Amino acid sequence: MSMFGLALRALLLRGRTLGLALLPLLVGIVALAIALTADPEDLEGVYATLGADLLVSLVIALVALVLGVNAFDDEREGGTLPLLMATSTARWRIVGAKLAAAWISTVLVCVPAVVGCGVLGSRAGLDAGQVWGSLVVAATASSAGYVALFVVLSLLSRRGLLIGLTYVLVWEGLLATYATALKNLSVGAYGRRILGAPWSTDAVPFQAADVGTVAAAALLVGLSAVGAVVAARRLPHVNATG
Amino acid sequence: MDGVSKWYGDTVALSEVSFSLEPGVTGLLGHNGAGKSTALALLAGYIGTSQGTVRVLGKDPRTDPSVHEGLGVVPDAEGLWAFLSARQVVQMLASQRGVAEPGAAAASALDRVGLTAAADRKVAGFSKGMRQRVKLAQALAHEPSVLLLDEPLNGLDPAQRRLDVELVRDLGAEGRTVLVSSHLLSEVERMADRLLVVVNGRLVAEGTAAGIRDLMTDRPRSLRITVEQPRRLGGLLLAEGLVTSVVVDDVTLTVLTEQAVSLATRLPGLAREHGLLLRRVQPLGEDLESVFSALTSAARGVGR
Repeated sequence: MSMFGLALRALLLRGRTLGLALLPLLVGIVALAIALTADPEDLEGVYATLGADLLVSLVIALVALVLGVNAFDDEREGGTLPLLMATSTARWRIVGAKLAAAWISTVLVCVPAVVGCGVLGSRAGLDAGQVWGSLVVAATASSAGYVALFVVLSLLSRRGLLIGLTYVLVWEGLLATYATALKNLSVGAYGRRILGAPWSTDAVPFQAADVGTVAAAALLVGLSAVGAVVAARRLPHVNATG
Repeated sequence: MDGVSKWYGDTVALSEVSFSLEPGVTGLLGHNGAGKSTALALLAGYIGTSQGTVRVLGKDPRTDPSVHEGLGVVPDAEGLWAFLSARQVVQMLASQRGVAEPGAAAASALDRVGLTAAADRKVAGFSKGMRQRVKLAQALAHEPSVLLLDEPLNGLDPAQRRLDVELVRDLGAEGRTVLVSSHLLSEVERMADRLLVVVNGRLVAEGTAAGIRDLMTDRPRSLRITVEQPRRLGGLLLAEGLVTSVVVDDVTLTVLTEQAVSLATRLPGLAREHGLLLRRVQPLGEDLESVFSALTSAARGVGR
């Protein structure tokens, strides 16, 4: 079994992850129910709210927070970090495996919400191809950015979950989503920019970062890469005994 | 380990500790909290030193993960990935230590610790003793030349302890360098020929198991003796030079002796010769902490 396989199983084979999956599942069911029952003329606004303000700003952020922080915290609290650190595997490979596992887990857990929002958006009179494309890219790129941020946080502080939760609820979910002055200063803002692709730039019905769609995706990928480097440099200095 | 200190804020976990290890089994003896696990964690690279240098196989274990290709560690923590089988745990860790055929290595290591029959069962259902054996197997699978075993007999029943004592001795006899920690002298001296004694973060004695035991036997000891005429017995013991001080109350006599063995041999005869009825002889301060504290002040350097 590879380090990535171990990391993926460690995250997915937990009751906590199943519980966490209820949140995006609920969002997906609500989105589908609205898509199938509401007046199509009202769907554009609902899609904007569910996709941008709820999915990218809150749901993906919360799922990434729990899985990103626990990628290493579970090992630390479960007493397996000493075994992991008693290998000759380069530390950047361990970090890479953990980041990739947390990222893929986050994307998988959020699939129901993405599907629900996709169905909703494609029935809202927007270009269905653009809706699905932007939604998938926004979800995967935002997940990568959030996960990188929270993995680094967990290696810098033992209170990563608490600090991360405060960040998600106060900064991502509130300030950076609604305060115009902060529109370039959050992970979610770049995800929302990608999600806004089906609309013309000045007609995006939610607050997003002031960059192009491709640049937003590139910035999220860049943030993930920087996070991976910082985490790989930090890991050797972590106290492996807890 | 050279001049190594480790502190956490104001708490000193290890202070100015220096030692080197040679092939064979070395025991690291100390009471709980003495600094044994800290020393092992430093050697495994789990934590960094506050001062001093640590080298294992010529490498800094904190910064050079390749040291783990030749180093096996049984950590103190009980954790194992519960969703994996014993074989998967050992095989996965062997592959992460550069073993070319991790499957064969895992099978061999599990056989050596007596877990072949349970190898494909999930670790989640294992007893503490079985988990300890999985940890031992993963430490052996890559055939390391240096082994760090942190209290490896914890959680084992007497039969398992006996087997593991033999296993540790065999590992030393194979020419591996083994450092095994314990808070029980009787336990560690069955595995190790050479001992390091740690007290309150300091290395206070280093030498053969026999030398350390002699040191413990000859240290000053207090005894409480319940006897009919304590004042008279106290006088006799002082006259014979068997004790250095006596404290008497109604029915008991508390003595301090530096010749515990001689006192134990002479006391019954002396009482009989003078018609004194001994009711009870009770050693005081025989817990490990007292023993090690005595070593701290009185026994710096068996072989140091």
